[in-house]
Amino acid sequence: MRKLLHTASFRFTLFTVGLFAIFVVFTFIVSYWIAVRYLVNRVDAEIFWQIEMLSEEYQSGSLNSQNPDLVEPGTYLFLQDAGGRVIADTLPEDPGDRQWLTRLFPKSAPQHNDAQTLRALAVALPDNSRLVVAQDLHDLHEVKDFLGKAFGGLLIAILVVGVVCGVIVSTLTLRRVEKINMTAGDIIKGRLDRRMPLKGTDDEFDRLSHNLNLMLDQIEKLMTGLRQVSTDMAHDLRTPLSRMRQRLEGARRRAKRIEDYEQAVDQALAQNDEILETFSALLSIAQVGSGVYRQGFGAIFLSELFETISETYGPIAEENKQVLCSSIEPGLLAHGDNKLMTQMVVNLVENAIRHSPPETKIFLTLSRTDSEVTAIVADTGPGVPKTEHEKIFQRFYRLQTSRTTAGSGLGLSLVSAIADLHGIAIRLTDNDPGLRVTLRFPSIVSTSF
Amino acid sequence: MKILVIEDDTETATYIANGLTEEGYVVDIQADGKVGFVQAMDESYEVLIVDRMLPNLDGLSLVKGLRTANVQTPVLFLSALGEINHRVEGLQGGGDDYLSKPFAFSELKARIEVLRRRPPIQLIESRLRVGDLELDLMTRIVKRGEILIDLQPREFRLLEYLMRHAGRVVTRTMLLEHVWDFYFDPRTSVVETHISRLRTKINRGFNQPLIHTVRGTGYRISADA
Repeated sequence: MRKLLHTASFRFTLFTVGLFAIFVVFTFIVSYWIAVRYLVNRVDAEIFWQIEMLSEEYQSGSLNSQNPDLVEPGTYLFLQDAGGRVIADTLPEDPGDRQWLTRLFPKSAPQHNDAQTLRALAVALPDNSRLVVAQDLHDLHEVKDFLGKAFGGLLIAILVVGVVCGVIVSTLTLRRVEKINMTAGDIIKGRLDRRMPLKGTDDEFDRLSHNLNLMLDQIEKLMTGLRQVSTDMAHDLRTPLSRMRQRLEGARRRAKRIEDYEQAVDQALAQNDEILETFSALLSIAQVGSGVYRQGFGAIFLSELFETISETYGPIAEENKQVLCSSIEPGLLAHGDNKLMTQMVVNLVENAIRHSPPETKIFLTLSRTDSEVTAIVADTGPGVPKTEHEKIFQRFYRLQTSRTTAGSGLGLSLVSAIADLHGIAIRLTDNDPGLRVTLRFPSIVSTSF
Repeated sequence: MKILVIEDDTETATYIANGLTEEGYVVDIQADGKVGFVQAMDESYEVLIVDRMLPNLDGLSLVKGLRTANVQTPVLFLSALGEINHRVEGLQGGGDDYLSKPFAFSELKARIEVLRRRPPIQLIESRLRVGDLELDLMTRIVKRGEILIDLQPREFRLLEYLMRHAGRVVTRTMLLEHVWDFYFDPRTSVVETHISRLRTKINRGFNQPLIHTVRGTGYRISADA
């Protein structure tokens, strides 16, 4: 029960009911006031009318105390001529000199209570005689009574219904929230495969649970990925480290001459550099992923960047007996980090050069259609099987066929991270033969010089 | 030939100091940022080697302070914070060069050489000359003797950088940074290939080589071998 009182829905219901009650009380006050005003006015009008009529009758001489029919039931009368003689008196008290009175009580009343209040008006007639007419306020009290009871009943009903509704709604809510909480508890304890229960009603709880489930899927994927990366990292770093160790140990045992030692040290240094490179590549990927580079974003002269890369790598392809063909539309711009963009394109081009045999043609294309800028790095090399397309952007992933070539298996992960940072969509397709990487830049401002 | 190393890691500091002492420099080491700052104000140093992360006063603030106090001693930042944005920050903060840890000693040495003897580059003529090789920055004409040499824009920049530091060793990384704007290590032989092409173009018809390879370090252009 305590739990129930603490639920947001119960409090909200209570709040709503409270507001409604205040509204009811306000309505009560207003309608009470209006009703009383109306009834008093009616009584007053009646009194005025009676006074007018009676004074006329008095002046014509037809009014005397023996004529009780003069006044209707509920109306009381007191008449005193100029000489002080009382002519008619059905009024219990002498109202005195005051003009308007509301708290007079009729003689017949066994005890003085509000139900028998009278309202009276005293006037002086032209011949100096005094006329007082009073009216029973019975109707007014009845209406007052009725209004009080009606609104009181309504108020109680609202409170009762409100609290009951609050309890019911809160119980239902609480039950579903409890289920979600229990599942969350399980997940916290490490059961990452648990998912929030769905009722299939597509209500707000189902939608919430659905979104939570999507989030959990993502978390599970990330956790698995992280575990995978940690394992791969340990493996990928242990291999060169153990190789280095073997070399050093070997040198320690077998080396006889200075040159042998020098050779061993040089090799160890090279292996050490390789490990350090892997670390900095991992760091770069993490840094790019964290988005800190966004602060330094600016305009990139994309066409010039591609030209530089084409000019730089043409001779290198040539050295490998490959051909680099480029077709670059001038004057295209992009938004982002110039150095990262350079590294991304360089990684793709170097990938094509390094993993392709001689005689391969490598294509570097930058073009614009309508507002869309597309870059393509394609080659006629051995390509990548379709099933591996997804995987080659993963950290440390390397095709079986390229295990023997030097490399950390992080180049394309960095490409993917940089593309993500810049909102560039990467697509891998078969180039028949070879691999084609298509980069679709987000719509950018482009100018032609 | 005095160099001040402001670095709180004793091992790195000693490693640098030993190496540079062997090269004939006089090296002072300071581990504390504040004390280092005061010492650097002295201006008797030719080059300052400053770590980014220091106790009491970080390297970046230290150099900013020096520049504000109009101390113009060349500064080489040394840092484990090797990422590109850190580098930009360091150079904008008044550093003259930036080397990220871990580094090869040869790299450090080459960069110090370039820093310390950097004369204020005032070209009276807009020409750089090494032996009989002449590069005109205005007309972008390269001549060896009377023979015109036709260079690609990138080759021109490469030659220009080498000639601006004629007689001194420039490393592969320095070339990648200044000629190509590459702040990463390419997996292909970018520098080697382009140097070899440039060499071929320059040496065509001449016996005396101008671009020399310094084994394990980099390249040097000079008329004498």
